[in-house]
Amino acid sequence: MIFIDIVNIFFLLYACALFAVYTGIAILSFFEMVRYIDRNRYVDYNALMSFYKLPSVSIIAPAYNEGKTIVDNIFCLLNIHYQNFEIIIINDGSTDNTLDIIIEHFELIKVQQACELVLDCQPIKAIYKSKNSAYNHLVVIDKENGGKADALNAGINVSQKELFLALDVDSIIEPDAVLRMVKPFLDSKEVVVASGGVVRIANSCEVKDGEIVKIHYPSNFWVKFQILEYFRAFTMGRMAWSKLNGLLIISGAFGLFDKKRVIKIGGYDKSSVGEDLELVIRLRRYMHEVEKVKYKVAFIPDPLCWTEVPESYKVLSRQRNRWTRGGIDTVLKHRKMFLNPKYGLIGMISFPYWVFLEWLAPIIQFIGIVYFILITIFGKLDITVFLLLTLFVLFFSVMYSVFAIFLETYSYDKYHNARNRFQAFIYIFLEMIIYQPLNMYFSLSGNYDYFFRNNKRGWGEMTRTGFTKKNIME
Amino acid sequence: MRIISIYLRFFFERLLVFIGLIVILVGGYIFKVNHISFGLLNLICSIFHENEKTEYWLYQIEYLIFVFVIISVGTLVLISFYKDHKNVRRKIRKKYVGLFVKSFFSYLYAETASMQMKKGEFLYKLWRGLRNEYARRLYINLLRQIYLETEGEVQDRSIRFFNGLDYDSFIRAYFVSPFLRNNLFALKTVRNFRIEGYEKYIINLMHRKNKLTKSAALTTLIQFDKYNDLLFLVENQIEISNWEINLIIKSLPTSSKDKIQYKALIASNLAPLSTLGIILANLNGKTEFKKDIKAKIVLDRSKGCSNEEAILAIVSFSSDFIDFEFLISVFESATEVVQIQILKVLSKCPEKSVAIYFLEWVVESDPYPLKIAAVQSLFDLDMFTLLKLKGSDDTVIRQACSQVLDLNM
Repeated sequence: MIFIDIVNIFFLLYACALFAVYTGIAILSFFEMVRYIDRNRYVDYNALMSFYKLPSVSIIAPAYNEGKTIVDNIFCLLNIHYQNFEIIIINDGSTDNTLDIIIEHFELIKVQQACELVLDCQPIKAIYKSKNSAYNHLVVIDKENGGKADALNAGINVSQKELFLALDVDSIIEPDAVLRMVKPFLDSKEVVVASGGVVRIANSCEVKDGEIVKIHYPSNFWVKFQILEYFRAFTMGRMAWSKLNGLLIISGAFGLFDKKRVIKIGGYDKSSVGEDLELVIRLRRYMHEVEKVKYKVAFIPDPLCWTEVPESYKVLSRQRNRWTRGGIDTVLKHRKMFLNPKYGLIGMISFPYWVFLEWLAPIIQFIGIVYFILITIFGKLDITVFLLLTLFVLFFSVMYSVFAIFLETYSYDKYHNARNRFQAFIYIFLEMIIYQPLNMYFSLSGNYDYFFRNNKRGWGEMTRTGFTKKNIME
Repeated sequence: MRIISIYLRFFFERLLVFIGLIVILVGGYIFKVNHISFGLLNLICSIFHENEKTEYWLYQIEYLIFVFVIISVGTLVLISFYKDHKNVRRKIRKKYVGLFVKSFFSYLYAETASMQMKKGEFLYKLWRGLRNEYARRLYINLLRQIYLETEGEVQDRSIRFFNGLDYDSFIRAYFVSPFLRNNLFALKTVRNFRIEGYEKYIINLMHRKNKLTKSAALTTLIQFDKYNDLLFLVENQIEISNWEINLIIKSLPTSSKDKIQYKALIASNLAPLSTLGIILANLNGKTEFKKDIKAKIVLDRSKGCSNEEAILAIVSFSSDFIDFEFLISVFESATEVVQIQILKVLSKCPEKSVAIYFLEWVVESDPYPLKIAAVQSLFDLDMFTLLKLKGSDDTVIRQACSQVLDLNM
């Protein structure tokens, strides 16, 4: 009986902490979003183009077997509005015709560009530039395959600018994305070491000449769940953490970094599949341990980057499994920061949040289900309490997701139509029955793979539909 | 009256949120107790008998479920209300823009003086009749846009028309408004139409914590003759960010070029002001301040940014050997970006042998980007040394030379 009481109290306390944190996130994100919109609605970003001094930016995009879409992807990057920038595409040992297509389409020729390999990466076979002055921002690196982190390191080695924007080559970015991302580097009192942006879902959107021309609510079953998930993660979660300057992750698909500092900490960790999370944590650790100055990791809530998300169960499970393994690996590598006051808010709040509510949550959830089955079998279940608590969780989740939809409508309102909002509302309920349990399963399999199958680095094949295939308007 | 109504609107939204929170908190209490009295007010909870049977913590769970449902429904209603409100606003805007644009154009492009007078009177009447704040802002904004995007007679007419409007109380109310959009509107109007007499308000906004208000106020203030020498920045020790430095440089009227107090700015203790002074001197080719800038570099080496801009200014101003010698002497303490600029400018050094010796030393001892910049300068200065380096045993040096000699780069 005492054992049951202890377990009950543990679950109750854990749930209370969970709900308190999520309530806090909702409140903080709301105020931060209102504040951000209030202060940035009237900023003329195009004025930045004529600024005397803007930091120079390298856009680094690794490509692996992207032959089908690479030309459109590069065109999208060439549309960017900025003064001083270069686009570095890294062909990471593709086995298809990615490189040949780029060479042919952009009239590339091999150049003798010298570069110092300050960061460890696989050998660079050749560097290409275009003969056509219309593409003079473009640099293409051909290297041996080494994975995403390795390719990004190669790009940083070749980069000649002050900041670098790490980007998934198949993402579509808004033309003024770099201008918006650079702003915190210009107007912050603290040292800005990185700035992250919101990633939105591009599946079903219409794309023309590398630009999103029409946003459609996705029709795919799995993507509809991810839309809600991305609203909560970006519009609420990251916004709230950025308010506290406790952001631990900048999406690998879209993040701007101070190159000098990234080089100082040794670049991307090639041994991690969660290289985006790992880099930000290591950067923060470096700022606390070495530079010891006031700094921040900025966050821009404007929807600036659009990416394709998994459309099938198989690909989704691989992606979530990889995210889990990346998270565990990073948490274990930097365990020194856990509840360590030396790292301030990061050590005391952000990092423990990541451990308890990101990594351990699915495990505790699973234990909870097993425990529920056991007490039901042994006749110890109080049905009234069970129903009440289930309703509590259900309605809290509904409220949280509805609030995320509200914030999206209030701030950017990318999905105008009432039908879309109604669909999103229906999916809030379906999510709890279908998507959440599956997510728990993906996380558990990630934990199993990491600890018991010793699969720490496997990336898994990520099949993408590509914009050219179905979405690009002719 | 206008100020009061703006403040009422400002507090109304906050009051609603506050009342919502109070209702949630008090609701929990009222549902649990039998009744509650405030003086003559006596509230009786009708579902008390139901709640009485529930354990206290479970009752709290029940109540929270109720709150979650209410908040979810409320939020959904709010979403729909917000969308409707946006649509209505869009329609209103369309209606007003149509009316204003038509009226402005028929006034500005009127063929006869009497026609113009008639149309003008209609527009003044329209302005006086507008009770909606949004419509008033739209009216001024359209006029402002016309003023900025036209020239000659049409532009003169639009400013004459604007000066005839009774805008004073309207602008003043917007300057003291708690809404950021109103402050920015007032600043933009004053800045673009260059209306004097509001400096007191602008200075107040300049001291706001909000970065956007502060930078908009700064760029407005420097449009006026009294302030475009930028001395007020030094006298009031105003801290400015890189963003504001850029904005000031971009917005300073061309006529202020010779009025700017370069010396005071360069000598300022505040690094950003000193940086601003140095950049402006550099951009405006004020070589007479070369000595002040050099002194700043020597005295102020620790202040990163200021120092960087100062060296870049000397790079631009360098003409005689003393300047190049100075640049070589500060090379080690400069940032990489500046070092590259120094190396590039050394190709113009009158004492070729000194430059070649220094560049050779850089090629042999410094990191890649510097090697390349040095080789580039050697390419202009002395092909013989470059070819000698191309045959070097050091692969890195050979690669740097190959890059410079590659015509496709």
